[in-house]
Amino acid sequence: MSARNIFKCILNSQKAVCRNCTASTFVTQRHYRNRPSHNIGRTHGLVVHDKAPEDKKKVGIWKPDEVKSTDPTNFNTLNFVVSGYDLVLVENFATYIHRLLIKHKQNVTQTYAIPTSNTVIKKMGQVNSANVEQMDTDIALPNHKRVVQVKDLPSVLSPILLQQLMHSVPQSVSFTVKEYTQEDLEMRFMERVGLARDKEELQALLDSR
Amino acid sequence: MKKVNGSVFRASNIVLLNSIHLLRCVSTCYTQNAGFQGLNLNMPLELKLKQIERKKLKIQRMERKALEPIPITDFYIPYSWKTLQRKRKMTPLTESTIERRALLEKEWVRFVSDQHQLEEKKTSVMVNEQVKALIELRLKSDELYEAALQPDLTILPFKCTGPIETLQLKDYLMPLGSYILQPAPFSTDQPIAVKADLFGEL
Repeated sequence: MSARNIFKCILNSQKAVCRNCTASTFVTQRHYRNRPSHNIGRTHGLVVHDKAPEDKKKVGIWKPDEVKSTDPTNFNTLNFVVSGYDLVLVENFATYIHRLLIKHKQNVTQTYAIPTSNTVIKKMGQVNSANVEQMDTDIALPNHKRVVQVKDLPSVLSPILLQQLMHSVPQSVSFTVKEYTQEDLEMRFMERVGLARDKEELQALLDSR
Repeated sequence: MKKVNGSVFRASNIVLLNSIHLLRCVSTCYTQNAGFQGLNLNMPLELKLKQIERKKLKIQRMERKALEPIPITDFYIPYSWKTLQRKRKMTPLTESTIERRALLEKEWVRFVSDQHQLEEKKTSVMVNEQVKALIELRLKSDELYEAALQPDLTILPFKCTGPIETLQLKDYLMPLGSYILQPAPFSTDQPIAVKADLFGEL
């Protein structure tokens, strides 16, 4: 504790300990879990705030201001997309990423799943034809995807995190880190086939005037 | 590798989802715009303008509707799989096996937590060294310090694949065939006929 009080960060002279220093473990806490005075100073998590119900009309609207970083030294919102055919491994790795980010006190905005698409592998069976539909299915491999979204990831911390993730990727699982774009938001919602058709027809009518 | 259970999953199997309110059940004789096939562009101008207005209103009404998220069907199990015949009969475990498993778990936990602690130590050491390096850099020059803090956007579509489960077989002849990429079920707002397979072979 004394180290924390004395150490005045040269990087940010206004605050005693800046955000870079809080990422490191200077302070150790002793919990005394067998004593009756355990959790005596606890304040976190005692009051549960109900989440306001989401307005259905505001769902799916792209807000570029919310995606941008607050500091030029931080990344904009990034998506850590974990994908693979083994659902258990994919989900566990996604939770591992989430907990890592929580440990480093990063701002995790969303964690969601992307609908799974199958790749059906077809073998040429008894019928000798190139018609894909006549072939027998060998395997239907799903491609499960889970996303962990972070906002304001500091550029200083990202190589360390990425290195740790690279060391701990399980078999058959791959992960990508990319910026969060409007396409990523829109792919989660149903495609409006009727609306697109009507728009085409309107365009055709306008063109033929 | 998830193989479709034994036999080929035929189109005739009726599949019902657990959450029925998400289904848009449809009879097989449903057709959109029955009797109207395609636009008639050879209309007189007045009628055309009326059509245009009608279309615009329709589009406005449809756009006002909220976007529907695609449901995640990962954990939907077809009812046809839930029969008493398919239920597994588990033999009860003996005390010795339970004990052995518990002790093995404890050993594993010890091993994994050691690994985890080593990793945590490494990362905290790295972060501390970074902080020291940045302090020294700032003392040397402000410009370099600010350049060092800028995020590296060149790495951004960053992809890392994990290790492979099984190694490649030597002298393996690939069988003839092809792939079909299937989109996720319910990815469009068009109603789906219930009889279609939604799992395994679609």
